[in-house]
Amino acid sequence: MMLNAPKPDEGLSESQAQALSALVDAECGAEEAEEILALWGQSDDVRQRWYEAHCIGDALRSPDLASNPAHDAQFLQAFRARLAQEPVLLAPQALPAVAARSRGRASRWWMAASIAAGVGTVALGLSQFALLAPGSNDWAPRGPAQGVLASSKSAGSPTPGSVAASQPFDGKQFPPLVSQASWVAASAPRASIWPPANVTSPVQTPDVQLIRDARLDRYLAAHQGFSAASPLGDPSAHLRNVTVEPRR
Amino acid sequence: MTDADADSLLIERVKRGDTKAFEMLVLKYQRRVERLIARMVRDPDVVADIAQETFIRAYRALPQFRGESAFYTWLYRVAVNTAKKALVDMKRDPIVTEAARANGNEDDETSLLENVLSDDATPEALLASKQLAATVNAAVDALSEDLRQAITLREIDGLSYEEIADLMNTPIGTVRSRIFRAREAISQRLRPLLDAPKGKRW
Repeated sequence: MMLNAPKPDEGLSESQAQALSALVDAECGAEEAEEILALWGQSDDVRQRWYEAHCIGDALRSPDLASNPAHDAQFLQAFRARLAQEPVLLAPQALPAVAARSRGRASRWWMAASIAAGVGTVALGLSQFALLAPGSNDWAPRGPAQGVLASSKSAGSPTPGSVAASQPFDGKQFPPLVSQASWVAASAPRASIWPPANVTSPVQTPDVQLIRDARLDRYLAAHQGFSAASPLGDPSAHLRNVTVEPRR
Repeated sequence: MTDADADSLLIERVKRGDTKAFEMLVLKYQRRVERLIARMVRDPDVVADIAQETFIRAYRALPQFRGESAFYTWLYRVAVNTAKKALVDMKRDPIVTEAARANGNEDDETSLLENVLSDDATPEALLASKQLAATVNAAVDALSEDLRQAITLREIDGLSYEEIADLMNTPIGTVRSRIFRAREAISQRLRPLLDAPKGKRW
C-alpha cells in the first residue's frame, strides 16, 4: 500500500492514521510500518497520534501511568537536546572490504573485540588529557555535537581528516584512533567501532582503510608530543602510540 | 508482527541513523520507565533525570542490543542500573547528604532524596495526571459498545487483533477500524488537556 507523505502542516489521511494505529499495536505489515515510520520526521501528526495512543493505553492500564502531558512534553524536549549532542549511531556492519576479508562471524567478532579493546585502551589513556568537557564525569560524559567516523565519499580519493581503521589487530599494529564523540560511544563494555553503513568504496591501502575526520588531524597536529615522554610516564601499560599516515 | 517486532523496526531505523525513530521509543516507554524508577527514587525531578539518562544510555548501547530479549526487558535493566548508580552517586554527594541532614532525616536512607519539592510534585501536576486518567476513562465509557469492547480488549486485556476478532466474531479489518475509531474519539476529548493548539505540536 503506497502512502503519500503529508505536508508538515497537514494531518495524515484516514488510511495513514489507521495504519499508524495498527502500528501502535504491532498489527501492521512491515512494509506498511516502514512507510509510516518514514513519515515520522515529516509530520507532527504522526508524533502526536503516536503519543496520544500510548497515553491512552498507559492510562487505561494503570493510574500510575497516567500522563502529565506538560511533563511529557518537557521530557521529550529535554531529551531531544541531549540526543542532539550524541554521535549519530550507525549500523554495526563491517566495512565491505573488511567483511570480504573476514572469514566468517567468529573472526569478525574477534576483530571487533580486539579493535574495541584497543580503542578502550586509547580512550582510557587519552581521557587523562582532559578531552572530555571540563566538569564531566563518567556519569554524563559530554562530547562534541557531531562526530562519527566520517566515511570516505569516493574510492581512491581520501578526504581530509581521516582515521585509520587498521585490521585485523594482531597486537603489533596500532588500534584505530576515533574521534572523541565516538569514544563516548565506544567506552561502553564490549563496544565496537561502528563504521558507516553507507560506505560503498572505502579507501584502501594493503593494510589500512582510511576514514577521515578533520578534527582528528587537528588534534594530532596539536599533540605531536604524544609519545613515551607523556606525563603518564611509561605509556605501555595503558596507552598506545598511534601514528596515522595521511595520504598526500 | 509482535510488539517486539514493531520495536525492532524502530531500532533498526535508529541503527541506520534515524534518531527520530528513537524518539518514538521514548514516547512509548517514558511513563513506564519513570514509574519503575519512581519505585527506587522518590524525588520526581530526580526520577525524570534518571529516566533521561536511561534513554541516553540505551541509545548509546543500542548497537549492542541484538533482540535476544524484548526491548523493554533490556531497557528495564538499563533503567535499574542507571538508577542504582545515581543513588550511589547521590549518597556520596556531600551537598545532598548535608541538605538531608539539615532536614533532620539522617537516619532514613531513602528520605535523603525525598525532600526537594519540585514542579512534578505540586498539586497542579498531580491533578493533571489524575485529570488525564479520568478523561480517558470517561471517554471510553462514552464509546459505543463495539468500540469500547475493541479498545479495552486491546489495551487492558492485551489481546491481538486476531484474538479480538475471534471474541467479537468480526473480521480482523473491522477490529483494526474499531480500535482506530475508539482512539480517535478518546483523543478528541484529550486534546484540550494536551494543550497542543492545532498546528503547533511538540
